[in-house]
Amino acid sequence: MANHDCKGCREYDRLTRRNFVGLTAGAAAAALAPGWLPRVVYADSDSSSRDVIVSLFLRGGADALTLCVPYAERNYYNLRPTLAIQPPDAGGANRALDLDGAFGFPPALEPLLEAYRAGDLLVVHACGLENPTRSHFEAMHFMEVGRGDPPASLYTGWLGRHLQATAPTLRDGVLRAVGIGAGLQRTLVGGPLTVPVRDPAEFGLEGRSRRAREAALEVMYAVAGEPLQTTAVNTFRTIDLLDDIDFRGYQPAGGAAYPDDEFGYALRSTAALIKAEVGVEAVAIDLGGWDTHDFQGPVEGHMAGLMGSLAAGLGAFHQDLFAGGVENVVVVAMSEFGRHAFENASGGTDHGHGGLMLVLGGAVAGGRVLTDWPGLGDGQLYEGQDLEITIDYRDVLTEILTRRLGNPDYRTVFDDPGYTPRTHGVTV
Amino acid sequence: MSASAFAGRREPVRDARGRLRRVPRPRLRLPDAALEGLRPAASGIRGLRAMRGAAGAATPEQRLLQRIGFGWHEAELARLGAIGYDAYLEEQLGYEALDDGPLESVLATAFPTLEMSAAEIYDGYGQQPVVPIVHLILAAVYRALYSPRRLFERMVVFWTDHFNIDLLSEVQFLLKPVDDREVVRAHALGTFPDLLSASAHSPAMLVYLTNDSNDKDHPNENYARELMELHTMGADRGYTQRDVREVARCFTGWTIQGRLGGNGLGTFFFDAARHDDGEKTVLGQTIPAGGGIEDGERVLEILAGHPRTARFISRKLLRWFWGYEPRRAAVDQVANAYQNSGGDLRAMLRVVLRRSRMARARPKLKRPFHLMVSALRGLGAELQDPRFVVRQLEAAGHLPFAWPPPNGYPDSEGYWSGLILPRWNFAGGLPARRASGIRFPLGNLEPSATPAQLARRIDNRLFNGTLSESTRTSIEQFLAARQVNPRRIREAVGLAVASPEFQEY
Repeated sequence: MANHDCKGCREYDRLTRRNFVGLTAGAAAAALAPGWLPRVVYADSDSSSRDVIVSLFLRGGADALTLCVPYAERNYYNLRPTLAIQPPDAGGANRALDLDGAFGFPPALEPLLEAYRAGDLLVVHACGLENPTRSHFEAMHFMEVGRGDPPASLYTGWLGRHLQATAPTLRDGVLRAVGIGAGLQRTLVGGPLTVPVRDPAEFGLEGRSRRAREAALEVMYAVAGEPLQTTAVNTFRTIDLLDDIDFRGYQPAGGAAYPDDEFGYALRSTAALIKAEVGVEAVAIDLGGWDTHDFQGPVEGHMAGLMGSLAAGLGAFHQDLFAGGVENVVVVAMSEFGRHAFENASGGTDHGHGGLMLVLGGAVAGGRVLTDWPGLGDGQLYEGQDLEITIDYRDVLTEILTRRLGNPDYRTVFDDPGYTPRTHGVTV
Repeated sequence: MSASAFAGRREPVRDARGRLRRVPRPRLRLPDAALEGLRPAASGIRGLRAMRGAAGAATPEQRLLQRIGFGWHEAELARLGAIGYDAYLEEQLGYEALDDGPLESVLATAFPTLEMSAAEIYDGYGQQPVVPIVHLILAAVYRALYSPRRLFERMVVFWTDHFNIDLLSEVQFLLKPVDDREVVRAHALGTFPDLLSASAHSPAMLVYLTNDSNDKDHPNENYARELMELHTMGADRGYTQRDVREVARCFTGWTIQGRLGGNGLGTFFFDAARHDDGEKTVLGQTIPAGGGIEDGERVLEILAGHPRTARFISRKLLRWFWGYEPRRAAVDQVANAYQNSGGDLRAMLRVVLRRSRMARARPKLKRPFHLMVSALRGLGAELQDPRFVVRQLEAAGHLPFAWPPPNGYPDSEGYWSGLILPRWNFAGGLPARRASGIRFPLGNLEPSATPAQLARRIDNRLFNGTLSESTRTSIEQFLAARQVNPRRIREAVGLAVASPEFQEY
């Protein structure tokens, strides 16, 4: 933000939005591109059949042993005397919904069973970030930039770098990615044409003399320093784009009913955005509240409520898109870590290690629990207290990137000399 | 976003065993009624008015004023000019002598829960948690706007983030008002060890980070981890998971009183029966068995005296007051001041805010709260009704005390620069006096002046004459496009507040 007296910039004063946009899209783009943005060399890819990705972050460290219950494991019941979900054949309300004879969903995830049984939902268990940190902030940062021990200079997100490395699916698109929320998720940082949006239905200038003010702001910000200039340009384009989509009147397909909460609203808006086919390739959504140090309530308390929200939202999203014939969408949900295998004295669990991912999509090899199960017995726990990680979360993302998102080279995203992806058959 | 009502929502504060319950956090939208009901009580606030000032900075003196307050006004620049840089800084550091009595007496009348204990809030507002919540949030706005203790209030916000507690979570409507008063405001310009100790004994913090259930049989590591990672040493691996476990053991039994309706509700309590009295080792130092409450006190001493803590706090202060990437040498200087003074924050700030350092300070991006307060101060505005400002803070994701995780609102350009629309919409709402509740005098912004003159005067008023030519020309052209009348002039002022230059300080 240094260019307040940009003498050489006078010529931009008279630019209207239309030719400003034209300018950036055209040959003069280099002159206006922010200096920190690396020059992009697009990988060859077939953009016609690429999935739209919805990256869902469960913030707070979601307890994987509740989200997908290893009910065949006796140790689980020893470690969780009050918090365990009982096996499917138990009586009463607290019993797991069987998935494959060894794992089950807790009752609160019942709305996900339909997608699971349709083969569209994959559970990846005992996976996560190969780094010992149990700090929320470190673990989230590492996962979102995509490296266990990133150099300080690496601040872009894995999905942002993927967008940098691939050509837009829509040649003249103005918006490639949306982060639903107040600030942009780290996952998307670095992505071209990427904007945080709190509420897609209300994205625009308010107040009087709207057009005149917009025109004036365009001129002012066209010569502003970074990062405000890029933000402003993307914001103007996004205002126009979202203004043309009827979010309020959006009718989900297949009788899908989104829950009346913030997460349901975000997914509903995402569905509307995808169906509008305006070139949006990635959406990031957060669902927080998983830091269950006490009163975890896996059956009818706090966590049950959160899981209910998660399942109702994703269940409706699945119904809406897949019943409506939109199949080129993939949702991937992750959390910064799982929690200790044993419960604490407060009816909760503290920060742990191995976690869980959910992958939902038309081309997902779902209907199963993908895991190289490490066990919960003595000598099997990570540092004696946590679920071990046997699948690097980046393996899952790499399969999605290379097989569904048209990015032939995972190294454009995960440039880590210590990492070689393994294929687990996440997609069909 | 979907608005879930906050008013009327009432969960029992205690569970069947009499322990404080976690109330799932509703998505906050402060109810209109709660804000509406405030206006008569707050009417005394109407008389207060921030004097107008400017955003631009060319000299170290101007930069100092910008960095130590949320916007500044002419009288402060005049005062600084009269007594000089160092004397002005000392005057702000010696904040006790700056009279905020008139403001505080108005606030005490309008927002009585500011002065209450947790038990008193429970008795008076146990069924209306939104009342103490709104009181604390609005007090933060009014103090930032009107207090003569500019540097002190900036430090209050700094420590509010550093020792973050989510006012909207759990039972914090009872506890955080006390923490704000007795921890953050009591020690904001004191010493770091005192502040850290106050925070560690704060019922609000112990509940927020679930140390109230840290038990000798099943230690809860939450507070221990954040104490080391966020409050003292920083997340750069100066300690191990084993240290976290040991620190958690030291703090077993640090909890809060829980008798309903009694005077003791929500006060600190060491429960010896739940304390792990075995020997511990923290950062290589042995804490002998049988220490009781002294174990935790010893940990606080170790952490407050640790060189990593000195550097972590020093670097964070430099980021707050100087710029995003402080130099290593600067961190060393401030950390030395910490070590030599026993963590005296005034001694550290004398080094942080040195004139030669401010002369080299780079612009920072205002966070939304800063933007809004500085606009009102810059315009010499009167905040007649706080609802619009509260709504804009909600929209911008920067309502005071409402950041859920324990790391506090980020002090980073990357986090805040992405969402620019709420800034523009705040600025766009300013001109509508009735809707915004904000009244500012036009002064020399007279309709008889030419658009060029008006643009120049807006520049002088809000930017101290430092506005870029392109922005000033845009404002002039906006004015020239139509008949110039007071409403158009107000809109032009709003445009100036939305400009790139006003986003910085």
